[in-house]
Amino acid sequence: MSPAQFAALYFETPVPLMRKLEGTAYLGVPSRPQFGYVGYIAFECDQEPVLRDAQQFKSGGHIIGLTDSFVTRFDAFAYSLLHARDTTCLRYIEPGNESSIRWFMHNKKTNKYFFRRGSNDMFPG
Amino acid sequence: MPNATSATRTIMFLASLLVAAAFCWLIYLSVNGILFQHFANKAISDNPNAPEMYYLRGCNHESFLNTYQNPFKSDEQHHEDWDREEKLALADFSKAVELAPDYACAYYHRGRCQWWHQPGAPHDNESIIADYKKALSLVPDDSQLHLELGRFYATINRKAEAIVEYQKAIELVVDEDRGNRVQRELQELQK
Repeated sequence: MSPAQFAALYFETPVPLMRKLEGTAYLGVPSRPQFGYVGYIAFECDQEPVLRDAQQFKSGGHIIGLTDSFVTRFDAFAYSLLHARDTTCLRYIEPGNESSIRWFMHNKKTNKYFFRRGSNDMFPG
Repeated sequence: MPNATSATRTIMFLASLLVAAAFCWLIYLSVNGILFQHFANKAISDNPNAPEMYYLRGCNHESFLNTYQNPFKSDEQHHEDWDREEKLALADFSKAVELAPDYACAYYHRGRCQWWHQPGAPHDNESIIADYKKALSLVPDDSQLHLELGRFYATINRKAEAIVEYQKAIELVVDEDRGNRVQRELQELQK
């Protein structure tokens, strides 16, 4: 699945408004397609992107672990996330599917956005 | 007998493949670490005021503390390597927070790095707590930070503070399963 298709699944904001969209997405459990796609994406957007199920997102989890995982994947593009004072992090556990967690992170001073959907095994918290 | 010989040969072949794979893996890890250090050193010399590179190089040094002892090295050599990598990691994290005082990640890794100090060696408890607390002042909703600080308090017998941190971790933890595990740890602590 392309990053654009993945983004369309989890954002209300139209994908063409997302610039420099990159990342990776694949079927989480090939033998169980109902589990859905997991992946990481990063992009720039002039307006704050609107998440699907936005009202369900809240703070918590291992924010530092998540930051490290984005920095590992997106390198310099994600460096602004390291400035904790300007960074927000939200997560949403899909009902009935505790191993599927959506994470959304961005730095208020930049227009770079980061999204991840997947299990919580990658990092604790 | 011919069957036994054939089986022995197959086993020996598979064993040698396994040894070769382990050897390649060790070489890969060493080369990967050396290359990373080389590029990080170059990036820092080009731009000595970039906190990111100090942070990433510190994480690379810190990763040594999380690996198994190289079987080709003696205990003494291993402890020397550990000591060196720990000092380098701490220096890099300190430089990162000096350049960017809101680097919660660097405070967290510096605190954890000190906690992972060589087994048996004394910890600077207050310094570890200060780093965790500084990181928490920047990311107060990080469940893992609360949990690790709670575990650290528990190891130094500051039970009341440990319980407070465990309770905060339970409030912020992501999933129910993990929450239950933290709850069980807390119950053990309260016994």
